[in-house]
Amino acid sequence: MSRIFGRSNLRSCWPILLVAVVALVMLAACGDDDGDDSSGSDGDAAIVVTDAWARPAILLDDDAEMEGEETAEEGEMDHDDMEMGMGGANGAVYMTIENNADDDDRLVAAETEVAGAVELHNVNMVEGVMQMREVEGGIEIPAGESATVVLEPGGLHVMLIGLNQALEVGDTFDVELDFEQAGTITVEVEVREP
Amino acid sequence: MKRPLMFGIAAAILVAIVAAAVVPRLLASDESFNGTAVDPDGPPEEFTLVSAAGDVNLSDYRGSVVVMYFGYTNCPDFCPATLSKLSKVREQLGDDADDVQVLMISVDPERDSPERLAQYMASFDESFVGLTGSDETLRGIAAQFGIFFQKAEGGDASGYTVDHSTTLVVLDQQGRQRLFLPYELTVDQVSHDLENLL
Repeated sequence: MSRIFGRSNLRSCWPILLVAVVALVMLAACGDDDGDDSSGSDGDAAIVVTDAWARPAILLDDDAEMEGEETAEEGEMDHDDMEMGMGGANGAVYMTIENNADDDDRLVAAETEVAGAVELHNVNMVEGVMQMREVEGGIEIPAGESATVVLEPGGLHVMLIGLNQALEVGDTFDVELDFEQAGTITVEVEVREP
Repeated sequence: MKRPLMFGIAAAILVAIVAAAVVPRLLASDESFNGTAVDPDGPPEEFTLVSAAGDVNLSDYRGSVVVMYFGYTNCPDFCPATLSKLSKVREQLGDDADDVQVLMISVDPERDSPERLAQYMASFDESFVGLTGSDETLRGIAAQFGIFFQKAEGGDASGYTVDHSTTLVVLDQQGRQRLFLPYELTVDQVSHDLENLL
């Protein structure tokens, strides 16, 4: 460094130095952005979410005219009417959650633009019978590297209720995850076949 | 020394010939199933349910291997997993898939209209058919195959969920029940079992 930026060259080099300083500042700013986003790669974040994905799902339209049989009589039912899960199909989001903080955390809620509502569910198989239940009080995310929580088919999932758009393979969408300690973390979810 | 040697070689050749003839046949006629084989006294009771295209009788599918799943369209995890598995099974079966009919019988008649079921099923495979009917009819059909379902409390948004058996019921081309396929079976295992019935 000292040779390149020796006293004799300093005058001619100042534009380069300026560019370098500006570039460094910009890089630092970008780095900060990544940290706030915490969508996976930042190892320093308390909560790290990786491999967030969803099954493909279609939109189910209860007013659909099948083979031109019916005419749309009930015009009142629009896409905002997601009561009782009607109007759209449901989906499931899976992911891996790691908690690098010293304290246990808890995923308490989630939100996304693609669905009318979101619930945290668990599925149990009891003698061949599938039982899906809302997880009371949220999903516990224990601290420590070995305590990774995996949301996967046949177990825990973030259930999307009343999808307002189809989820097609290759699509991505954001889900906001609310953690008791870590606050809100936005993750990008990829739609793919399991 | 020469005679026993000749005899040994002849015997080895004979064994090889017999093995070559018998082993492929044994493999081809592998009648073992990955699922649970059943042999009921008679065919299941006839039923009539509703699809988006109109009434459907179980006997309409005589001539096809029928794979029945009991599920519902609001189910986000097990049902799509099972139906996408069955769609892959049909792909794997190639031309034989023409003789395999997948039916989903709703365990949620309150929310599953025939149209809703049709859209849902078609998203997995154009050939899949979704059927519904009155709660009483559906319960009767499920019961005769030992399938259980029951409403369970869901969250505020999901309203309710439905606990249900995930086992597939398989009838052969003569309309007799032959198999139960547990949820855990892979695409290959299910394909193998259905192939055996064709």
